[in-house]
Amino acid sequence: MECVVLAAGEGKRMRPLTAKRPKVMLPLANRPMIEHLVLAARDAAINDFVFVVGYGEREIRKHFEDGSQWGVHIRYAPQRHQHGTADAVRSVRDLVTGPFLLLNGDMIIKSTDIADLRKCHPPCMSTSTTNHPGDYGVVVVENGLVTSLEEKSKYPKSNMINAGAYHFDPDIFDAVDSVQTSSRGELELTDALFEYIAEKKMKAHQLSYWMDVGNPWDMLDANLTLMGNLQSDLKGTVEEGVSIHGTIIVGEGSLVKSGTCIEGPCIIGKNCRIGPHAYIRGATSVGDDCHIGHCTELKNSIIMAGTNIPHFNYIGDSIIGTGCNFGAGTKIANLRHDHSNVRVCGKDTRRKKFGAVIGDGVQFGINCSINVGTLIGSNAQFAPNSYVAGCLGENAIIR
Amino acid sequence: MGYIGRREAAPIIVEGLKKLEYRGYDSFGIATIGNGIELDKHQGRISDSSHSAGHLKGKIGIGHTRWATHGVPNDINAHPHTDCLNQIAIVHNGIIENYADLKRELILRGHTFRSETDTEVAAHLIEEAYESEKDLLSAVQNVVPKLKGSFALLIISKGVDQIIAARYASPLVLGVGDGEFFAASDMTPILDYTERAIYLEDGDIACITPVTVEIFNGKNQVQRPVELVDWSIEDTRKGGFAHYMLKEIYEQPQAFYNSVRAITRETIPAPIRNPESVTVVACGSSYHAGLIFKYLLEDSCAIPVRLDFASEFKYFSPPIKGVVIGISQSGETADTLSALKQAKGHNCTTLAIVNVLGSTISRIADFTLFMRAGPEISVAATKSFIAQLAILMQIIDFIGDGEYEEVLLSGHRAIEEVLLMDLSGAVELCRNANSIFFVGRGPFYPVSLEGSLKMKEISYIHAEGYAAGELKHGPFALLSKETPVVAICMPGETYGVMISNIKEMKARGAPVIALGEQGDLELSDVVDIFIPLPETHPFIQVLTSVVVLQLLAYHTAVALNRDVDKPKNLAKSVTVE
Amino acid sequence: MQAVILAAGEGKRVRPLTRSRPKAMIPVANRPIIEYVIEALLKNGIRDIIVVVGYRKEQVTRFLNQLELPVEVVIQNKQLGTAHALKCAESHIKGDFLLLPGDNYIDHHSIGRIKEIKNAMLVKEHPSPSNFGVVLLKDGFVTGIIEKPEHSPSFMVSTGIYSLTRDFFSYIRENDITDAVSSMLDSDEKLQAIMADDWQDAIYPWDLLKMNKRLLKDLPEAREGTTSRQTITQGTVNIGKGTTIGPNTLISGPVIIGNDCEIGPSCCIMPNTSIGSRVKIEPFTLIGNSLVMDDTSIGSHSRIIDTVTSEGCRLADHTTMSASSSLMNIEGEVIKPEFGVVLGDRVISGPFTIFKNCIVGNNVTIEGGSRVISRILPDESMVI
Repeated sequence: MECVVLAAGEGKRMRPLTAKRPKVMLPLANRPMIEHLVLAARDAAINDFVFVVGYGEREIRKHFEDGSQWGVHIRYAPQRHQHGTADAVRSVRDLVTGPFLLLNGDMIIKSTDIADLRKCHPPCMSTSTTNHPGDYGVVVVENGLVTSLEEKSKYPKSNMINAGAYHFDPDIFDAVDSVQTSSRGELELTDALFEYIAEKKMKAHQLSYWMDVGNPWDMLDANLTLMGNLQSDLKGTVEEGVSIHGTIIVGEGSLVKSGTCIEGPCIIGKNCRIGPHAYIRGATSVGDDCHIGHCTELKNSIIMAGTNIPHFNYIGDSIIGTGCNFGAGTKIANLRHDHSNVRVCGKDTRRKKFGAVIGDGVQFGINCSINVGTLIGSNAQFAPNSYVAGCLGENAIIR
Repeated sequence: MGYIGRREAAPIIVEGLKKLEYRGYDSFGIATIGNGIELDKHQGRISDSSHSAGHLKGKIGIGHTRWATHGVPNDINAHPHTDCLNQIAIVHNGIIENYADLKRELILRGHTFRSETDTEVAAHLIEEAYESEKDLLSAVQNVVPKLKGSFALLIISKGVDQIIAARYASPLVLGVGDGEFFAASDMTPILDYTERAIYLEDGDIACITPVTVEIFNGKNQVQRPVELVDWSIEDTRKGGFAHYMLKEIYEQPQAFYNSVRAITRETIPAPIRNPESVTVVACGSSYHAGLIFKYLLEDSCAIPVRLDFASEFKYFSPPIKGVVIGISQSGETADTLSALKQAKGHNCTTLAIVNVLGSTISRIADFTLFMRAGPEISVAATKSFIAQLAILMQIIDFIGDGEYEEVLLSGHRAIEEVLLMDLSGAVELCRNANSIFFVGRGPFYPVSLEGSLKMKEISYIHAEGYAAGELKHGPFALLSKETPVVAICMPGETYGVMISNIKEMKARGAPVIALGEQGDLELSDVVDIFIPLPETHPFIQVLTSVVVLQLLAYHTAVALNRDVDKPKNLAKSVTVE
Repeated sequence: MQAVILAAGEGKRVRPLTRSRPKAMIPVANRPIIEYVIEALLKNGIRDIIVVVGYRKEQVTRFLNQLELPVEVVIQNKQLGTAHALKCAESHIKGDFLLLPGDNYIDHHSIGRIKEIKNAMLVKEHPSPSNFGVVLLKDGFVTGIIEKPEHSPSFMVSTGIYSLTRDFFSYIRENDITDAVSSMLDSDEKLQAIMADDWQDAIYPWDLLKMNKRLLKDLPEAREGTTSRQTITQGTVNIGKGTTIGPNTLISGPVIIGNDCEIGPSCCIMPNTSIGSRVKIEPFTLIGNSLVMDDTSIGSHSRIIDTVTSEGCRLADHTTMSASSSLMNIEGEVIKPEFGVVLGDRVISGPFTIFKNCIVGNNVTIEGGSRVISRILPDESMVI
């Protein structure tokens, strides 16, 4: 069976992390989000994928190529303008031949659920429950059929929502062709579904687990969840005198020097240098080619490839892009004195503890102080001793 | 434009041709392989017709939008052309120079011609070769050496799941999709589907199937790299403007500002920073930009500049030395391209100034500076001209060690200022004229050339640009009440003589419209209509006077109900020599 | 639902700021007023937007063109009045529609309330009702509307924002909307009055400062460009790309600074200040509660308070600006407002110039050491 994965959007809410890559290529547990999805689908015996790509197409192609490394076959359908999900589906007309699965590329879903969705007779929509249904399409299900669907409702009728995974027949292509621009100015796939719903054809399939990543801080929860499935695996070199607790993965060519303490779950990528005397705490993933040096403490964070956090740093509850460099003594605060929820650029993260979102290639001089809830655009530069707070754009410089 | 893959070809080609229309728009046509060769062609513009070509079936197709070179624009002369049996269809850009000889021979061998075009010759030649070779690729390989001139060809044949593409001295690019390929003169129509491109080189023949492409040069198979094209498709909405030209005129402050800011000392290639001599080759408006550059650079930096029409460059054969700069909006202008190739043949450093990333000229030249004009749709160049000047002035600034930096950084304000100008009086004078003279001296001489070119292009009124002093060596005899003179008379060393020239012209009864500096009472007293330009540096006055002349041409053309954006008999980028 | 935005009028009372743009295009907090109107409509899911342009239509159209959402542009060739402008858009209107002036700020909640009702008007109390159409209400319905009365019977005025049906066109006989509304009321049509939450109109140029202050409240924080470590920022500060802020500069938000500016070192930017793009402010200058538009440069040791400067002004060092009040004749009306300084496009002034409570026209040149106090200088004039 063919599986269409929607991966064309930039994911504006994930800025600045999406400066060099689309949202679906953001790493969780050291793999792009979409790779987790492909693996789950593969385990449900799906081998033929069509990726609808647009923003950051090159990154996705470079990573997957034709998919043979994963034992699957991947084709690409570029969608140059992002006119909405219905338009994305239109762009794969003639490219899929029979009934197919349609998955949003930015969600986390289990392979058993994909297998069940596959068995469900099309058209079929997967559903999930959430405690803030107003942010999604709210559905009402009666006797296994979807009877109502309402986008971003102020007064949701239930806490059951459309999870963005479907099983369709090719007749969906005729349905999406008739979709008109919605009040949000997009061609929305859900508008194509109302006819199915009215004719009582749209089946519902409840997922056992579902999570989507809407904002940068959601990545921390998703990272933790995906690390839960891992087994310890020490491919790199771990020197004597390293203390290890819980599930730990250390990639090939990485060296963990003595005196380092790692508390799992934790993933360290390939060719990293850790320690001596680094302290890495739970739910942290460190990408390839990173350097986490002497007396540096990391906690519940995502550090992307090629970033150096070499001496006397503290990073907690933060997301750091690729190729950043932290000067000695630069630290990120992650708790407010009033213990209220941390806000980033005015948005409530719903987290008491959150540090910073830092884009790619950001450089800090020594002893910079980064306040809670700071957001820093790519390639920003900060002079020694700078106090960094608030929202900083791309290429911002404090000197 | 060609498509081969798993989708229906016709709708993709129709959309693509609409985007290529700026290359020519007097007729269009599409052929697909469905039930045999299915053909649909028409006189006129594809964007004007509601053609979806939906009745053409098949997943392989070629299409063309034409600008007549041989044969008048009509349904029959529109591409694609077919052979006698309607089994082979072909589209062609360029000119087959020896077509007359070939046609005679073909007729003798019993072929029937339907059209007056040079292209049809190729269709019949391929038909013959295909009969003996039984293989489309070999047939094309046999025919191509017989063709002289420039061409980009796409060929399809009934019962063959291939498109054969051939290129010589005319642009052709292949778009690489997943299980599908595209072919077109440039990337614009392809970018909707893929950003991966193969640029064919001269003499290449490509055999394209839905999954593979094999490229031959002569009989040898060659590899051409797949390149990634970086051009986010910008929106080219006309919005509320009546014409693209007006929209683009109003975008000039931004185009100037962006172009000036985009080029820094670091981005100017080293050989240009301190040249011994400079040669500029260009066509049309770009030539006028080059002429302004010549005046300004020679005056401010005492570096000799040689300037040639690109189309004439090859007929001169003095030794070419120093840096050769080629200027072209589209980066595809055939004459400028061949002039740059010739310069490279003389081991000169070549610099291209173009507006389109990835265009042929930018890939031929040693260095390229990109204008930041954004897409220009109107056939009459406006903002690309201003952007060219921005870059050329910026080069002068760097050669002259930052002397003009302040001036250039505020240039956009003066342009903005003249956009507010009311030209109704001057328009009224021009619309009733049967001939208009544009005169100026010094750097304002090329400005007058550009002003007259714009007037001719879009209003169809005969106009001539003249160096003011040259007027009395002949054209004076033509002056009368019906021939208004547009004179550019700015303060500076040319001012005194310009005033006396204007008085002479007035004495012959010609109404005079003068562009001068605001507050110039002496000038405004002598002339019929005075257009005051802001008081600024001479560099900027060049810009502001150009903008006023663009607006004058535009409003005159509108007053005469002309089709401003697509003037008759003209194409945006001329890819034949 | 469709919306018609009227942006054809010049806005004579805010001269000299309307020389190169209509009032709707005056940038407040660095965005043209009309952009806020469009944004409020989009927040309500209204995407079918028609803009009537006229005065300096190319400048408006150029701006509308670069919006993400394509809007329909309709041209009113002669500015005869608001109803005439609306009539120009008649053929584009399919059914019920909203009618809004492009040169007033309106919050999106108010639009959300009125769009649900057929035949309604947004109303608001205003301290000087005589400048507007004053409405008479009964049980939440409009019973009468009086255009700019000398002695106003109430403080309730029309915001010029209506929710209407196509039938409204049958009431248009004269060139003004108010007349059409009156004749609509005369024929016993109901027109509901809905209170607007937040509506801002600038009658006179100095009113823009109040609007600026209001709009800066919603300013998102963002910092690009280069700032010095010794720059002190307080409150919400928004700094654009390519802007450089020198050391020891104090920026006390809300303040917005556009792209490619050069500020400082050692400047003070006080609250409620908007600075456009490519603006240059030399050292030791203080700016507060002001609106400085693109391409303006201000010399060192200046004090710029309560000031609106249009584009491309060049003010030399030691320029002083401050507020006061005096009798003034604005477009034939004598008033006694208290305000600071309003400068038109490309005003050039020499060092040690003092401005106080004055309106300076476009392209005015002022010699150094002049005192311009309580005066209106016409366009193109010179002060020697």
